[in-house]
This record gives sequence, C-alpha cells and structure tokens, in this order.
Amino acid sequence: MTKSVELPQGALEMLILKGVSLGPLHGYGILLRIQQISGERLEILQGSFYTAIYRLEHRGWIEGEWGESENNRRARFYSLTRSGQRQLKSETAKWTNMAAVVASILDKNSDEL
Amino acid sequence: MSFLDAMRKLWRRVAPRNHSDVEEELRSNLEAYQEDLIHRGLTAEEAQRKARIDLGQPATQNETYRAAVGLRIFDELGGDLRYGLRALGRNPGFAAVAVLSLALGIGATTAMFSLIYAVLLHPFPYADADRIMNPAIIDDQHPDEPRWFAMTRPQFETLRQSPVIQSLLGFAEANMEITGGAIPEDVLGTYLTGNAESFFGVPALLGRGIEPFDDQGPGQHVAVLNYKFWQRHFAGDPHVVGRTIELDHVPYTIVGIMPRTFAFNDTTGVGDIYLPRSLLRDTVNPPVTSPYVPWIKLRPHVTPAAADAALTSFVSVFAKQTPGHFPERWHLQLQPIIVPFQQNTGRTLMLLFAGVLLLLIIGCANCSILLLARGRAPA
Repeated sequence: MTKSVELPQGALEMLILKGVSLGPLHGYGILLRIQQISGERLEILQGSFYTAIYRLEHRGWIEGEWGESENNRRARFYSLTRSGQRQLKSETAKWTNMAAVVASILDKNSDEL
Repeated sequence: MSFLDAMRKLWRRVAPRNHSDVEEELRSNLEAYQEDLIHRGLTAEEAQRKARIDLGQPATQNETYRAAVGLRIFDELGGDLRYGLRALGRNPGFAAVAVLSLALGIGATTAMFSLIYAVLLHPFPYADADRIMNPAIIDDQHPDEPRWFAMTRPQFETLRQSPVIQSLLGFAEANMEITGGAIPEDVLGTYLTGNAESFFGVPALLGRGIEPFDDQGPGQHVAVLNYKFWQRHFAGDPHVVGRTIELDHVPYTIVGIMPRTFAFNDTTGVGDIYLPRSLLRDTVNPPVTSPYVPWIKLRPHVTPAAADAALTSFVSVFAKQTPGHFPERWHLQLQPIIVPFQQNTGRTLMLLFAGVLLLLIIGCANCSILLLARGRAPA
C-alpha cells in the first residue's frame, strides 16, 4: 500500500479541471481518472469531491450534460468550458511557478548560502 | 447556434440545478461506486454500506449542493420568514399591537423625513441649485442682519464678466395692479433678466418662460404666470396662454405658466407674474436706478469662499459708486440660497424629526417588551 498524499487548498479543483480537460466524464469517472493518473497515491474524499464539482459548474468552468455511461447507465457528463480552459491554464502556470520557488528554497543547503 | 440556444445555455450555466437533478446524479455516482467496490471484492451489502457512508444520502444531497454554490443563505432566510409568519398568525392580537406600534413610528419618521427633504435638503427645482448663491452684504457692526444689494445696469454688466460666475441673474420686484377688470387686484410682479429660463433650468408647464429676446431693447410686453397665481386668478384655465392681461393699464401677452414647484423668489416674496427686466424702467414711477438684485450661479468646483475673494474687488468698486446701498464697514458673503430656509425653519424641523425618531425608538422598545412579556407568560 502506497502512502496517500493530502491535497492543499484549491488543488482538488485544479485536478478536476485537468481531469475533465482530457475528455468528458461523469463524476465518479473523473475521480477514478485522477486517482489512476496519480498512480493511486491520491486519496480523495468523495464528499468534498462532489461539492468541488458543484462549485466548478456553478462558476461556469465545467458544464454538465446528461448522457449514457459505458455500462448504459444514465450519468451526468462534464466537459470543460472555454472559461474553464483559461482557468486551468492560469492555475497550472501559477502552481508550477509556486512549486518551483518552494522547491528551490527547500533544496538549499547551508553551505550554499 | 441561434441566439435562443445561446441564452438557454447561459441560463443553465448560472441557474441553480433542481432538486431531482442533483439527487439523480448522486444516485448514478453511488451506483458506479458500488459496482466498483464489488469488483474489488466486497459483497453487495458491504459495498452499499460503504458507498452510503462515503457519499451520503441522495435525498439530502440538494442541501449539500446549495451550500456548495452559496445558496444556503436564501434557504435559511426563507425558513426564518415562514417561521415568523406562522408565529404572527398564531397570535393575531399580539401581531396587531406590534405592527401598529412599529407602523406608527416608521410612518411618522418617513413623513417627517419627506418634509425635511422637501424643505431643507432639496427645496428648489432649479438646475444646479447648490451652485446658486445669494450674495449678501454683511454689516460688520450688525453681522446678524445680512443685506442684499441692488446694482445699476453697468455694474451688472461688469459683474457678469467675473470668471467665477457661470450665469448671473438680475431681478427686481414691484407691486402692481391688475386693471381692466371690474375690481383691481394687487399682485407682486417680478422682473427677470432674459437669461432666466437657462439660469433656472425649469421648463414652463405651459407655453414658455422669459427668453433672451423678450428682454432685448425696450423689452416685449409679455408675462409668465406663477402656478399659484394662475390657479387663483384664472382657475387653472389652460387656454389662458396667448390671452392678454392688463397691469397698471398696460396690456401684456401671457406666454407661459411655470410649474407648481417654481416659486421664485423663494425667500423674500414669491412673484405672481414674471416680466422681462427691460420693461421695469418704463412702468414704474419714479424710475428705478438700480434694478438688478443678483443671484449668482457659480462655475462648477468654485467654492463660495474663493468666489467671495474674487468678487469682493468688484463689489468694492460698486460700493464707491453707490455708497447708499452699503453700510460703512462690510464684507461680502455668498450664501447658498438654502441658507435663509435653514435659518427660519431648520431648527424647528430638526427638533420635530428628533421627536418622531424618539417615537420610532419607543415603538421598537414596545415591541421588544411585548416579546419579553410573552416569553414570560405561562404557556
């Protein structure tokens, strides 16, 4: 069993946007997709996962549409809207930038200063 | 995509989803999760239990949804409202007393405030009324008795050149008599310079106001009526425009009627009939030498203090020319036209307002005491 990672504030939203950007999926499918990409290292609480989806949809970043799932069940499929694409892009840039800065500070040894 | 489709899409994006939609989605996710759990080796019963624990009940999911998108506050507000109405309905006598005491307080306060608004805050219908100033001469020996000053025609023309003044109105008042009828009637005539209509910015109710060409040369024999005078003397007859009225045995054509809100001059005496200024010399005996009492409309962003400083040099020259109009030692003070109102009625109105405010507070206290008393009463 691998160690699970806890997500910082706002990161779940970003991951959902990313998950949806790879192709329309229903709620549980998005969750599975994110977990699969993370190599099952990510434990996502389902309660907060669905409220995050509600928020994203309400802000107009993703858009839900009823359709048929792979095993012929009715499911709500989400896709990224145009403003969602912009949001994902800017969030990704922000995140990589921040991660790089934090990592560069943590990497420093005392003799390098 | 048609416009309608676009609108529908936009609406779907901003409007909250309905109860059954949210519930159905969660149920679908729940089932997908359950199936997944069974694939991983749980029994059907275990899977169902775990799915319910992790995801919650579909029936209550709508609340979660509304909380997530920020609609909870409306739900709670609605609940409170319904509760409040039900409580009122259960106890109509109590409700009536509470509503009555609050209604009295609120009603009185509102009425009083409307009065203060009309009298003190916004009494004038004139355009840019806050920039219209009454130039007062303050006698340094009796500073509490401001005086106005009248000007001759050259003085008026000079003052108009000042860069702080956007528009300068000159007026004069004369007691006149309506003649030609069975009984003569005394009226107050107010002579206005030709820029009156643009200075006040108040369009006539019927016909037109005094215009620049009325005032040119010797002046046209035209008259504009005050609303109250029109009601009193002509019983509000709208066909009076174009007819003739005889004042001091001279006929004038009535060209317009001012609206009810127009009551120039608001402070010293409301004119019944407005006439072009140029006529003044012809009709009054002995002739008036200083027929211009000024009202000044300052340019925007000029403070009264700055205007005082700029205009004092002009008025000093006038004081030398016509020393009879000025006290020995004086200074100029531009007063907003509202000042006389505030001095006359402001204190009384404020006192009354404080009184009705107190009434409102008593009403509120009344209500809370009623609530307390009911809380203590045996059920």
